[in-house]
Amino acid sequence: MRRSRFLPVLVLLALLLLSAGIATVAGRQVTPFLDKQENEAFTLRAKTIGSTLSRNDLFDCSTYVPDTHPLLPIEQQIFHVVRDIKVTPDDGKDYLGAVWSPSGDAMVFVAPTGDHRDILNSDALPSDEDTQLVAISKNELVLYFPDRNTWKQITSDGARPTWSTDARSIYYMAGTDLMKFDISTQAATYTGLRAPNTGVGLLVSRPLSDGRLLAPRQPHAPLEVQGDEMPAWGPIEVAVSDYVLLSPQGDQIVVAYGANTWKGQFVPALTVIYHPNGEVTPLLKNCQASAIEMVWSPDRNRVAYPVRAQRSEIRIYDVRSGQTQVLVRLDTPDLLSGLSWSPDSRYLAFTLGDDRVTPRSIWLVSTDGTTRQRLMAGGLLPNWSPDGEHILYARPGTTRLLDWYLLELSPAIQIEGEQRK
Amino acid sequence: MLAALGLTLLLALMWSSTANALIPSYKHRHRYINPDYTYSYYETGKEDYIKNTLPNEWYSTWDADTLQAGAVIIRSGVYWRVNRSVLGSPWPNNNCYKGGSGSTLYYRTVPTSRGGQEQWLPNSSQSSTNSAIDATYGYHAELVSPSATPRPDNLVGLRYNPTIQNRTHNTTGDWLTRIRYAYLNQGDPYDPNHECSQIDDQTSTNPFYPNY
Repeated sequence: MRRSRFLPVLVLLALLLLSAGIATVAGRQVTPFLDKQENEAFTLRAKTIGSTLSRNDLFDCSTYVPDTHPLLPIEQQIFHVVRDIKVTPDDGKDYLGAVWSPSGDAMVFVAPTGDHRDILNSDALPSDEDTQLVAISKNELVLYFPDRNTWKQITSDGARPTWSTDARSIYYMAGTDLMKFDISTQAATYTGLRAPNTGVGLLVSRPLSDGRLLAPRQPHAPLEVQGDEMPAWGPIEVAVSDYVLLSPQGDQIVVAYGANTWKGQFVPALTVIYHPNGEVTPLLKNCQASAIEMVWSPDRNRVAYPVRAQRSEIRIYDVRSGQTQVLVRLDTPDLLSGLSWSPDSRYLAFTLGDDRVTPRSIWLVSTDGTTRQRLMAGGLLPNWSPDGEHILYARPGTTRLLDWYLLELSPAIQIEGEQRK
Repeated sequence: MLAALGLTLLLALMWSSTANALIPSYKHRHRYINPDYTYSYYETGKEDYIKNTLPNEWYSTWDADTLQAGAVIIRSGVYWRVNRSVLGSPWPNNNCYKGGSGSTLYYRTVPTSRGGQEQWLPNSSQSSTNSAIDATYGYHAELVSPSATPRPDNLVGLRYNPTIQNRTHNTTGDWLTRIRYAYLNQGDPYDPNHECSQIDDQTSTNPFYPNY
């Protein structure tokens, strides 16, 4: 009697539990076991973030109110444009950017294809379930020699090309595998180093110029340098929602925790620098866009980044002194982006505007804050060559996202201690 | 053309929680350009997508009704794209920002700093824009008048540009009034020769997926 009385309730309860279970599995597409793994994997990450958050002197983009006075160096012609030529062919490929060789005589373009590689093992933060990284693009890597105007495909499946210091080879990730392309033999070989097939493994792992690999050793493991002894900064735990930027020598590393997090309330976006001596310097809070646009100086002593505000700025942080310099402050909220250091670290090239309210233009500014020059109207993503005499830059394409051009420069002013060529 | 567009919109802008049952079930798919020049492919909840897009497209300091107009305009595009993907349309992304061949199932979101168009930026939601999105939850544009051409649903994928955005800001009234004003005012915001044009799909030979 009692059983039959509660039977409808039990049936209803069973149905509710069943539907809730199905909804959970269907909605999240992850198992409870994986959730547990993920939570455990982020212990060190949470510890670093926690200690960083205890600092209350961090620069916070969400509350920053810039000074009302613009900071605009004197306009002066620093360089002449000798030549401006389009370099990317109209072959239908989507060239999105390039990496110069250390000698400056070649560059590797990255051109995503329509094909993609699925993420098989998620290492998203527990809060990211509503936005999932499901795949990354497969990309053509194409070698370009400006002097000869010749193109050579390296691979149809590569990412994050990194030149060796002697410019004789190019390391790149082919999905999970670290590959080495030899310039003289034009052949690619597998190095034996590998990243796991996770979001971090596929998106964050990157070669170092000496052939080592910065990557987790297994799913949900911290980032390590594989192939040699561990740097003093030790293993670094990151999630797929974090952004990682290595210094040119690979001995310092910027980690922007939460720069790719889709729910800002889970953790504030924090940017820190890991130094070779093991120290960690907190740098920015809630400055996701600044962190993503951050660039190391070639002498590895400074990082430059834009700050989007009512009066947008370009700032330079000196890692030796710990001092921050405001290099440029506009009197508008216009977008400042695409920062690129000159090889001698004396100048920064950058893009002002985004063709919405303000037309794009490429500017140069001396890093001592004395002079600036509008190099050209239009254009974006300037990329200074190692010889200092060229700037690769893009213009919006008509049949694709970007077309790429190469500027040849000559100094307009005599730089002290240097002879004009 | 503009008058017809405006009239259609006047008829079109209504809310229906029951129409087109496909809508609530699927996530928005898009590609995001990474700093290393590669693409990441994301699937995101529709409201999450709007929350990380609106503050990058409308000024988050604008008044609530302007932001609500922006939320509805972006949501209308999201619903349109999601349904077209689900329905297997040959133009699942409204032939806009679709990128290269073989990748048409994914909308392309690229920061303007990298030459892009609609800006979905990770972790960029703000309280003012989130409030506008929550306040208009579910509101989107639909075609109310019977269509002479067979359609899979009545969704209308609203487009916008700085002119449209400024018009939602430079008028008074509720968000619906502002959207009407934005599309009815002088000046044609659409270029029929542009791939993202509202009327571009009308030149298609397939009659089942007209854009408008």
